[in-house]
Amino acid sequence: MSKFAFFIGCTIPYRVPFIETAIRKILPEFEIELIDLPFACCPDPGGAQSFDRVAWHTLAARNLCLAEEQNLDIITACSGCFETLKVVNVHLKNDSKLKGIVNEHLKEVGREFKGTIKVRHFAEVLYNDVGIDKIAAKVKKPLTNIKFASHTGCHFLKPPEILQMDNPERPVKLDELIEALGAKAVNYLNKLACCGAGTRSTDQDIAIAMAHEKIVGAELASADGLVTICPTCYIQFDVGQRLMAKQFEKTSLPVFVYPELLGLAMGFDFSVGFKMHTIKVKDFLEKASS
Amino acid sequence: MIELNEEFKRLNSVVKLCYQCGTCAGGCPVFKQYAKFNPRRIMDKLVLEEFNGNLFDEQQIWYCSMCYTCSTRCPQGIDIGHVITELKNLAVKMSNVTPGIIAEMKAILETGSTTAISQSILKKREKLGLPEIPKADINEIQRLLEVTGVTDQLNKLKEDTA
Repeated sequence: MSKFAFFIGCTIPYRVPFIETAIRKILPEFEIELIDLPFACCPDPGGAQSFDRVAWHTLAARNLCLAEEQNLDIITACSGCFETLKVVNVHLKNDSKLKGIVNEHLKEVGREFKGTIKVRHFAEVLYNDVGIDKIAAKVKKPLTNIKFASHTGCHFLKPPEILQMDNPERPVKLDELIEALGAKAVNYLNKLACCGAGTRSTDQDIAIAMAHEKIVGAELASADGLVTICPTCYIQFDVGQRLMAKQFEKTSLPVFVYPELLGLAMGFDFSVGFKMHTIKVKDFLEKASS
Repeated sequence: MIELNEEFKRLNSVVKLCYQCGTCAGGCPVFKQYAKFNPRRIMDKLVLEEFNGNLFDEQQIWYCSMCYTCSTRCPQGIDIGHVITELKNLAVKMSNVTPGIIAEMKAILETGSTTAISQSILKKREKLGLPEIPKADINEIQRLLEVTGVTDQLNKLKEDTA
């Protein structure tokens, strides 16, 4: 069993908790134990970083300290949390001046950033530590005849020199994870484009138009569903389609996070969570089980 | 304001290799939908030292989705997304912030989280059989926001926008 501090973030538990169910059920199947700690907001790489970069580093460092004190690496299920925590961890490990400023602030709450742990994303742990073969070996109900459009998402990929997850211009890992389930990962128009969530707090219509382009691309490629590894991207595409219908022709493309599909292929019953999706997945599930 | 000018000069030195090829705008997913947000033009204004005033016209910089496609593709290796983030930090000091970001920072200050916990979500969590999550010590978060100046800045924004 490898143990991780589970950084759950704000969006998963309090907006899309069925993602949490999938994560908590799936990871232990691969000998990954999740430990909950009293973390606060990561904080958000868009909002908080835009507001004040020193405060962003300081609040993130407090979260890193909590895991350091338990001698645990962090695993995240949200790419926003992943980017914040990994970028801040790397910055503070390499920039002694910034580390000094942050530690001065942390002293006020009796903590100190030391730089002793790593920050991981669940998709990276599945791909690198578990591996495609072991994942494929756990599949009991392969998703044959299903085509997926993958959306790896910006905060898993960029900045690439710090995150070092996949090729930012030609990511392949999520496609390989999808194909390990017996499904096909299709190429589609705007595959690399941003989901638009980062613009949502400034202009919702534009943010939704950005997500819409991707849904249209996935539909043109005859995808049965769109797969993400981030709750914020998930919300843009799933809840977003309801908002898109105000500006564009109505679409109803099912949207998933990867752990839900992994669970489905492993034979888990996630029906309670699937009912909480905005875009109905009933027809998809029938096709997947046929 | 003197301090802000120093910051602009520092950013000017970061972007001075920009030769206006437009790769940033060409790959920008926001520009594709909204031509008023143009990262090439933001770089141009910085290179030409058009600081203050029109650099922040119509809150343009707040449209950046922070996808960093521009940074990944810039042939001169300028981390454009990061420069725009630094500009946002300066805009905050000039009380030019999109309301959504202010609301988010207030939520972190009050609860330690960006997302309010509603009764309906707690019901959903129960239905899903999810455990209670340990809460962060809010006093620690508030102290850190105080010493980093965020609390003061939020109060100042309240006065400036009142």
